Amino acid sequence: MNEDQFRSTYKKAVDSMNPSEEMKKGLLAKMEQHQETKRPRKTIFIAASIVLAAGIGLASPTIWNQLNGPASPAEVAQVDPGTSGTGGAASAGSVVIPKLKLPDSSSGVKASMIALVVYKGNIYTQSATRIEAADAAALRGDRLGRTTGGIDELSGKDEYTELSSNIGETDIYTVKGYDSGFLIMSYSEIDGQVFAELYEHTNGITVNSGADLIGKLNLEGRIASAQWESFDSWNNGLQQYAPLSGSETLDGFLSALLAAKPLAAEPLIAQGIYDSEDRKVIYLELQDKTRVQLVLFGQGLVRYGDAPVFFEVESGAFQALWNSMEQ
Amino acid sequence: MQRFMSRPGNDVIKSYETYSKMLFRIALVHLGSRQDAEEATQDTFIKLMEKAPEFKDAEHQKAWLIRVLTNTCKTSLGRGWRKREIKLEGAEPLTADSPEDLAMLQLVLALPVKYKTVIHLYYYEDYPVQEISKILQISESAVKMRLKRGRQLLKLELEGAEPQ
Repeated sequence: MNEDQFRSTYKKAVDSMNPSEEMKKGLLAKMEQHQETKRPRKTIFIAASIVLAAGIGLASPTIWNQLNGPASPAEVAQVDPGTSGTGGAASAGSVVIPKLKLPDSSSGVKASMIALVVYKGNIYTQSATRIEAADAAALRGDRLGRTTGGIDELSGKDEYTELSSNIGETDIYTVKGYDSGFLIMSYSEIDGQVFAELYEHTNGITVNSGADLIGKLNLEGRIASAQWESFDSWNNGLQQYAPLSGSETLDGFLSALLAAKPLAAEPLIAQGIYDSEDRKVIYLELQDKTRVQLVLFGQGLVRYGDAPVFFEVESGAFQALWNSMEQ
Repeated sequence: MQRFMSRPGNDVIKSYETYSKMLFRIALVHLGSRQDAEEATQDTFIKLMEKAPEFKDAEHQKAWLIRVLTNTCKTSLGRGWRKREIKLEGAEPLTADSPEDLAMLQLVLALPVKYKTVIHLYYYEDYPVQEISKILQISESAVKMRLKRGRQLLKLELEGAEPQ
């Protein structure tokens, strides 16, 4: 199919997709709700509890969002035994992130299909760490091979075919300074332009502390500069970055992050952690020019990328950094 | 400067009438389910009501709405693979006017998110590379790369020059 045919066919197909009347009704209802006086913000409780459910334990403080409900005694995050296959099951003090399965397009559309590469039997997904094209060459290590094809290569396959991907054909390299079991790079030069992306392996692993995931980024002693962004700026695309002041505060936070206890993401998400806007984003530019993004949640938690795990950072170190980020 | 009043029935609803279909379609490409797409679209207009930003013109407003919507979709996608898989398993299958339309939609929906967003903005909304770069806040070279990769995956044969 040529470009013009695609454009017209795609436009025709998309034109047939219209929202329902319910969408407008729902919006009006939401708007009316927002007209009501906002409830005063309630304290978010953190209560230590241990749950054991059908052999799957969640050893963590249970945090829940009370922004829209009455204060309640400490609730317990239940882990549905049936969800242990994909959501990040937990055992005492650790979170097991199950191995990602290859998308099977024969079962229908995978709307959330993420960019991925298969290397050594593991799925690497687009990294939450970024590198500018101009800086990628310096980080490029050994060539591992070339990815094959795309969607058709993956469709309906059960096998993890080496270097299959859904990103088209491109060369894959190790990344200098990083374990290739964690981070690899796609790199190609097209018409004199460099195109590079980082892919990370954050599934099929057991996380006992921040060191098991964040530690692979080798942050300590390598931070060239650090910035933060408010949720409002991030959410509205304002890109209002401010420098993080106080290297000691940041160092203390990062040390605490490496030692931080992991919490399975799923129960926290179910409890509405994303319903709150009590979030700040920090950007750490490392000496090798990579840019690491971490999301801090007001409840004292940190998340890196889409790995289904949060880290509960020691409160003193967390609050010191959190409080230093004031507009 | 255009200032939105934070009262239902005023400019937010006018904006809804103007932009809701466009935003819903972008959200649908992102999220693949009608229910999620409608929710993300509603949330975008709620943010418009809450923030009441000042816009230079209609294009400025449109770009702001797309950016907020894509952030909303990103957050939704970041909420965990398991949740999305459950939703996909239980979601009503997408329907279209014809099997050809459905096949085309499924082809694009099956692309990785970062590619299909750019493909949609370029081929459906007719945004040039520079504008997509501003809306998604990625470099122009990244937009070009994603277009190129998207085209490769869709097996498109280019006719004419690369977008500038």
